Amino acid sequence: MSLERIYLNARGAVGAPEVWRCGATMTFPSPDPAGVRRRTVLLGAPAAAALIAWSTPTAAGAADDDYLAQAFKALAAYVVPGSDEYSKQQRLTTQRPGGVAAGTDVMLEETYDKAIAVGIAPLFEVNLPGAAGVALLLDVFTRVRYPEQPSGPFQHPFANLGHSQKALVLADLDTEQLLEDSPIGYAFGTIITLTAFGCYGERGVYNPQTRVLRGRPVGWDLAQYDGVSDGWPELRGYWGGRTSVPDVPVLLDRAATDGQGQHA
Amino acid sequence: MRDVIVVGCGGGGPVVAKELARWGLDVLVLESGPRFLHPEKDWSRLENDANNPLTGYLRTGPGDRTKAAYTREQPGDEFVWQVSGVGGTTLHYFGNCPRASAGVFAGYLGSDAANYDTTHRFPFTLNEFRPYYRWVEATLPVQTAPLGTKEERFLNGAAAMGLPLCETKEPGEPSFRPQENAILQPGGTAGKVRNPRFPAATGCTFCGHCYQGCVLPVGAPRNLRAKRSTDNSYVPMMLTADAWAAGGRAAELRTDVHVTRVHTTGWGDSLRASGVTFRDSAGATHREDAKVVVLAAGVVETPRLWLISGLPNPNGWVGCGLTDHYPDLVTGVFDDYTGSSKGAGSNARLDYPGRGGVENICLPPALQAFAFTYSDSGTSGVYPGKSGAGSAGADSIGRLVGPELVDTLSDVDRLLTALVITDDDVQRSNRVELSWVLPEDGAGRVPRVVMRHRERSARTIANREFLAAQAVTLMRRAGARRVHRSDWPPLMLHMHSTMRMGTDASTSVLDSWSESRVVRRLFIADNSALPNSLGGPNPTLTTQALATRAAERILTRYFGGEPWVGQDTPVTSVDDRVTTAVVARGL
Repeated sequence: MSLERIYLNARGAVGAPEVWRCGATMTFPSPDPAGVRRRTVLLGAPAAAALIAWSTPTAAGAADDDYLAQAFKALAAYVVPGSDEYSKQQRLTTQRPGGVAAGTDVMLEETYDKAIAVGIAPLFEVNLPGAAGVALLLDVFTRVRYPEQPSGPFQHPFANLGHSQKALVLADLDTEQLLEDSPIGYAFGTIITLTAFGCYGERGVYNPQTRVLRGRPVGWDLAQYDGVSDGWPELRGYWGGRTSVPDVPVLLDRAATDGQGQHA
Repeated sequence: MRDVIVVGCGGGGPVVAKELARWGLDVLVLESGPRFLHPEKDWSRLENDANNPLTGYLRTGPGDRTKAAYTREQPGDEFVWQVSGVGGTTLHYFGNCPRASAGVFAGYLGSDAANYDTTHRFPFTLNEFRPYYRWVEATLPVQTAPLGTKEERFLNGAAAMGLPLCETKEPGEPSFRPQENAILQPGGTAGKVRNPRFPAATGCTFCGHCYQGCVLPVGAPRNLRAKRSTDNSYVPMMLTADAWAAGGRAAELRTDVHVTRVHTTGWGDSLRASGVTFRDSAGATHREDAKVVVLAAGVVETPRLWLISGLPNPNGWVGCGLTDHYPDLVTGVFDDYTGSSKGAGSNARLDYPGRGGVENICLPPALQAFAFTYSDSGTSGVYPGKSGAGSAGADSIGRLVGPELVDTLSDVDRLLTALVITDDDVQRSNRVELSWVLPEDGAGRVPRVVMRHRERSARTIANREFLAAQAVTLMRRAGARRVHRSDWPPLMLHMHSTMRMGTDASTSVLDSWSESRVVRRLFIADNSALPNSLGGPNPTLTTQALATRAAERILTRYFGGEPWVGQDTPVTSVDDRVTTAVVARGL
């Protein structure tokens, strides 16, 4: 099966998958998540492809979001909880829109698709590029941490976790040495960071074709940001009225820096 | 055959081009990224649109944003944050222009001389170099920064720490000061009203968008825009040299072209640069020959180009010795207004000679959220992470997520943010090399950037911890009710010294004039030429002064010219002759 096919399957864009192969030589373990040990994954057992298959029995989920959107919205809810269903599922909500309403998933998908052109973590058998690779890696780490498969309305298992459970999965991602040594180690270290950037950014209400904001970004309200401006009446003057400083006195300069016969 | 080809139009390349175009040389400048000819229309100043490091208009990638960013192997959790295009990383810089610490130069005899990276000093004295600083400071120009609310808070906190005010351009002891910035001081209505317009307003309008690129005041000619990124200063000058210099000749600029090879001729001691091959955006290949080639493609791309060209590397130091100021962030939360999202990127700083510095920075909310969640110390209150760093006296350390992030960032204008800029040691193991893993791009093997931050020298780590503690103390003295330390992994905003010059031929690539030790007529004029991390001061001014010195060397050694720095009076980039030419030519 081609990477494209796997990608589309991962996104739920084609019919329910059977057991997918990432390569012609790949074989599959028994689909018993409880039997998957973390080191097994680390050593390259082809668990990831099988894990995708294990994720499919659940229905589309409470939302109509696809697999990738679920992964990234679950991340957004973790970083900035709100009043959305992902925040409710993690049992940590607020009374106002949060990272999900900010459209963070759109920004993350765009970013990772542009950033990662190769299989994201071959050691984990996650050979998908781009956003699909990140979503699948999150899937793998969720299932390794919680092999009993947390139940819930979402296809992506990370989206079914409680907030504190998500924290432990992300801690695994954050501290896994093999990921740090990968060619794109930065991509893992910045998952939470890019998510936060998206939560407080404008992408959810920004049309890149027209370059027009459709509304006020959620993050601007959360941070009480006054927005883009051509200027602000913020000038408070100069420290002690000082608008310039003198250069170094010549005598001090020579004494301190020339030494005696030590010119290069 | 050209006189000079300059590869790269970022912070350093346009300096060489401008200085040599002034003397009538035939200069061709090649830039891999786009030229932002009408940024006032094309730049939104929205954070994701501008600063998403992989998809934004200020990224390391081609001008066509439907295409992916340039591929770089970055093992570990370090992250390189540069910008390609005309102006390079100065497009998002803060314009901070401190001179390098005196202790990083040869011949320094101060009582604290042993506190610096003593094995990797500049191969000349500060006294010898100072005229080049003055030349660049007059050209940009560099001016003393005004204050907004956040700077008042910051400097009041510094004064409450008992630090003295630095009275000159070169701190000799721990002290505080307004920044010396390459930002035009506000005039007229700038800084006084919300929507100022040129010419009623001149200089900095306190918009808060240094990191998204400077296009203000509205209506100002390109060379009169407030921040002196090279697209607003040296590039207009290099393209109009015939208009402001007698005998000058405008440089030629080609953008969206990738140099794929530097050519040489001769061998042994007579080996010299002879030209370059480059590929344009349509995929066509071109060859240009020149009497002198100047590499200014940046700390990552310059050593990469050297290596993929197969140029000699006899001592193995090409790409090695990367320094980055090992930055960190300390943020104070206040009960009242700080104006943290408004004003210039940074207008105030502390200097600790021999250790580095701390500067205030302006962050809109998405970048502030980025800064709060980038950490090598795990997640605050959840797990400790890998760093082992302490809080340095802060109330919390690590990533802020969930309710803690929402609460801390509930009002971006009640924060005060301090960037720790460490005097870090040159270590050979930190380097740029070629990737064996990732696919090649059109130019060849892609670069691999390695920063082993958990293997930093004891001095580097001690300096960083000291500075973080000072930043925490400043926040408390300034009135913060809560202080947070991020403990960043390497967020490489400042990068230097991968093609370093030095006194020791066995540990340096360049001689004291920025010329290759093994390939004559091949110069380097970007941050990679710096011999060290400057003691902590921001690098652009020093790189531009070094590029000016390299240009003077090129003219005198290879074109029969005479030195001019310290003898002539520099033409400033805001000179009326430059402005007239910029307007007339639609630049």
